Amino acid sequence: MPDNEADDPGDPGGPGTDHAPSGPEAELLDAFSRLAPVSTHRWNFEESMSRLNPQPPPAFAAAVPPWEGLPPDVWAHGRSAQVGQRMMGDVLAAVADLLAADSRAAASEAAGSHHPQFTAAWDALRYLAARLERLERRSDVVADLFPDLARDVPESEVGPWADHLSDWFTPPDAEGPVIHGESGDGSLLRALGGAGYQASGIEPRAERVWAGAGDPAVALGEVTDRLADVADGELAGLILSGCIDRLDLPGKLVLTELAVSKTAPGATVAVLATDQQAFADACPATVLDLLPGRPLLPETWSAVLARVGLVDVRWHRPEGEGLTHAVVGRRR
Amino acid sequence: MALQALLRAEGVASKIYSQLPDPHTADRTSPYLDYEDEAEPGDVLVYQFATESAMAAWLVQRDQPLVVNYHSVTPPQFFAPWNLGITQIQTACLRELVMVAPRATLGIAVSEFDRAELSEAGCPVTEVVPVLTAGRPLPPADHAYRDWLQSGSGSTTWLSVGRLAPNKSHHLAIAALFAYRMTTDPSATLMVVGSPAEPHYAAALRHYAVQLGLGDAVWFVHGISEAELAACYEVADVLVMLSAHEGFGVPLVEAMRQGVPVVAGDAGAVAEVLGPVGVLLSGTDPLQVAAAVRSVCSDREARQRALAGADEQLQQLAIGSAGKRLVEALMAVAGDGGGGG
Repeated sequence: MPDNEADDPGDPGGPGTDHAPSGPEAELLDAFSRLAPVSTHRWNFEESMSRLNPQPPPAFAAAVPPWEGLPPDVWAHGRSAQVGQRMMGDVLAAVADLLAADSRAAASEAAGSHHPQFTAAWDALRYLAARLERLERRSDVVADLFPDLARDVPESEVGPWADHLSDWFTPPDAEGPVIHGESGDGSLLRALGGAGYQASGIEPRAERVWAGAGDPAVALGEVTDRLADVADGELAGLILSGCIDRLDLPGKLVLTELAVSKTAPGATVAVLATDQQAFADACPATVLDLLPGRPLLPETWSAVLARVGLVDVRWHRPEGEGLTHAVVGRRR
Repeated sequence: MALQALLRAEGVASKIYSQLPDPHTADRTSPYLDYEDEAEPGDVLVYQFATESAMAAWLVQRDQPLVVNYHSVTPPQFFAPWNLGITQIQTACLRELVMVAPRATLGIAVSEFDRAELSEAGCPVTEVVPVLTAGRPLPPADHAYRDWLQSGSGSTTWLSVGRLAPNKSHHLAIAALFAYRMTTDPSATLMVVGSPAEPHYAAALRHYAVQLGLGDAVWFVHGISEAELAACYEVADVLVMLSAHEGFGVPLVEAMRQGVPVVAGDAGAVAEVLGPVGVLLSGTDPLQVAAAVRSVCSDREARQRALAGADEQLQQLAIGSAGKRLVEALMAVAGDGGGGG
C-alpha cells in the first residue's frame, strides 16, 4: 500500500477495502446521476433537432475531370487519323463537360427543391421550442431564485396517524409495497413495517434519508419524480404528505393522478394534509408568500380524490392538537 | 503563446496558425490555410492537440515534420449523459488522434498517463513534458478576497479546483461534504473553483447542493484572478480532487506549493503527479472521502504525513524546466530535418 494512503483501519470506508456504497450512500450518489438530462423530453427534443438540422446543399465536385487531351503516341497512327481523333476527342471532351454541368445542376436542384419547405418546418419547430421555453421558465423561475424554499417549510406532523394505518390499508398479505412520500422522520414507515407491510419511502431531504440508514428503504428525491418511475398498478398503498401541501394546484392534481395510476385495484390512497391555519401559522411570512401552493382544505381533497375515481373517500379529523387531516380513499 | 515566447527567446522564429481565432489573441495568429503560402524549408509544425479541428486532416497531408503536443482528450462517455454536442466532438477528436498520431515525428504528453494514450494511438516517438503553466507559482494571495472567504467559511473548509465538467466529478466532493457534515463537522464548507465548462453539469451541481441541504455550504466560484485563487488555497484546509479522468492535475501542484494537504482519487495521472504526497484513495465513495478528510484535518500527524515530501515531489516533476525541455525537444526535431516553425 502506498505510503500516502489514509491510515484509518477502523473506518469501514478506508482505502484498500472494497467499499461498495449501499443504503443512504448509494441513494446520495444515485440522486446526482438522476439530474443528468439524458433521456428527458428536452434532451430527446434537442437530439432530434440536431439530427434534423438542415445541411446546406452538397457542393458537387466536378463529376468528370477535364479531358487532358489525346495520348502522345496517337501521332504515331497517321496524320489524318490524328486529325480525326483529335477533333473527336475535343468534341467528346466538350460533350462530357456539358453533361457534367447538367448533372451538377440537376443534383443541386433536386437537393434544393425540398429545402424551402424543410427549412420552414425546421423554423416552426424552433419557434415552438422557444414558446415552450417561455412556459417552462414560468414554472422554473421560483425554484431558480429561491432553491431552498421547500426547506424553510416545517415538516408535516404525520406521526399521530401511525396508529390508524392498519385501519386504512388492506391486510399485510396484499401484494405490493406501500410507499410514503414524503416519509420525513420515517415514523409511518416503521409503523407500516411493524404491521407487516412492505413499506418504503420517498424523501427530498437528504439528511432524513441519511439518518434512516437505509432501513426501511427511502429513495432520495421529489415524490412526483420518483413515483413516476414506479410501474403502473404496482402499489398496494400510497400515503402522500408534505409535498402535497407545497405544490401548486396543477402539481397537486398531477400527483393525485399518479397516485391512481401507480396503485393496484383495491389499494388505499391516503392524503395527509396540514391544516391551512396551522400551516400559515408555522410558515415564515416570506416563505408563505413565495410558495407556489398552500394546503387544500380536507373537503377539497375529498372532492379531488372522488373526482379521480377513488371510492369510500373519508375525511379523518386530527385528534387533540394534531395539525394534519387524513383523507383516505380506495382504488376501485 | 507561452511556447512561442520560449522559442523566440532562443532565437527561433515562430508563428501561430489557428482554425478559429481567439478574439483575445487574433492579432497574433493567422488562419491555418495561410501557411500554404508561407511555408519555408526547415519548418517544424507543432500541433496543440486539444479538440476536434479541421486542421488535423490538413496537417497529415503536410510534408513538414510534425510534433503533436497532446493535451489529453476527455473520453466522450463522460459527456454522454450531459451534452450530446460535446460527446460528438470528443468522439471525433479521438478519431483525429488516431489519424494524426502515426504521422507525428514526435508526440509530447504532459504525463505518463497521457503518453500511454498517445502511444496507443500510434505515435511512434513520445516524450513527457509537464504542463508549461504549472511551472508558474501563484502570486501572493489577494488579502481582501481571502478575508471575505474566511468570513463565510465553515470550521473546516474544503477546496475543489477544476472546470465544471463531468470528468472532474465535483459532485462526488459535494456528496462527500454531505457525509462529512453528517459524521464529523456540521459546519464544514466547500469552495468549488472552476468555470462552468458544461452548463447542464454545472446546473446539476448547484441543484444537487441544494438538494442535499448544502445550498449555503457549497460556493461556486469562477472568473477569479490568480491572486484570488491563491487566497482560496490560503483559506482551504484541504484540497479534494476526485476526478474520474485527469491528464495532469495542475491543482495538485498548486496545493503542494501552497502547503494544502490533498485528498485525491486514484485516476488518470493523479498518482503520478502526487507521488508520495497527500492521501490517495482507491475509491471515491462519500464515507471514504469524508474519513480521509477527517484524518488530515483533525489528526496533526496525519496532516504532516500528507504534506511531507511536497518539495521533493515538485522537484521530481521538474515542472520548472518544462519550458526548456519542450524547446529542446522541438529543436531536436528541427535539427533532424527542420528549422523554426
